[in-house]
Amino acid sequence: MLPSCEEVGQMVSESLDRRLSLPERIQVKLHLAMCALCRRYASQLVFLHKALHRHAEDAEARKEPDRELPDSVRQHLQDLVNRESQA
Amino acid sequence: MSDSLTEDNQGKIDPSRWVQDYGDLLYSIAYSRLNDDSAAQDAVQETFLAALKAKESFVGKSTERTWMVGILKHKITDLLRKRFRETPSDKVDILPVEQEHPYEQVGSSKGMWRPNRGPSEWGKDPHKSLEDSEFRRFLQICLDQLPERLAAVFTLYELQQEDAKKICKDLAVSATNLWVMLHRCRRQLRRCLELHWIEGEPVSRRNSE
Repeated sequence: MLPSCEEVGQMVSESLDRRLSLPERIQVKLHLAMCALCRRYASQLVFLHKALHRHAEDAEARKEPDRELPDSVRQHLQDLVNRESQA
Repeated sequence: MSDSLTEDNQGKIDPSRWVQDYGDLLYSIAYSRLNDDSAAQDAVQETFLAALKAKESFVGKSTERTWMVGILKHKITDLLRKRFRETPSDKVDILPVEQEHPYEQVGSSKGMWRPNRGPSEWGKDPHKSLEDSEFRRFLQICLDQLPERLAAVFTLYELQQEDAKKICKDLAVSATNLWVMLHRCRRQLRRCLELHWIEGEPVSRRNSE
């Protein structure tokens, strides 16, 4: 049975996470060769996958954080750290 | 050894500066992954407390910043796992993209893209988009719209970069189940980005609980 666009979409997604079996890879390749919409969908999923990793790494590396702790919370944390580090 | 506080690397540890140096950074990361003020603040607090307990074992192999972020990520992972387990699973969230039924439901074309429901041409250079702050803003908005249980597993995998096998074990889900959940999230995110970032549909405010 030839897979539908929906099934190919699922397999393309899984190919980002695990190695597809040989039959699966062949099915996907054949379908993508014939279906422009699924080719588009696949490239968008690949892009999204990369973008998410980049988004996560950027957040961890960023020089200027995009959020600020409220002053009251900042003060509370400072007091807590001061107290606990003397323990 | 008893003079460890005077060693170079231990000398770099100054907890009195932690809130000032790392507070906002940790809060930003935590908020982007937990999408909740008080959960994010809790995570930051837990991180500082854990760092105080563990400061003797910080041997300066990484920077203090990397070490601190590492501790935060562990706390975030714990919180996300807890969220997943505690959100009821019989509450089946139908995602907006699924409600749109982009694929034919019945007939000989079952599972094929319906007319005018397929992905549109984005015409964007992926490399450039990754630098684009507008894109990043929409990405965060779209992530925040995912329902809680799916968001938890998706964040663990894609943002926290936890190993799939470990996720399956910790959350007691099968690999197949995980792949399905990830794809549902990816479909939804793709469609959300398409609607708002590409096609310019205004984002409607979600009611906050």
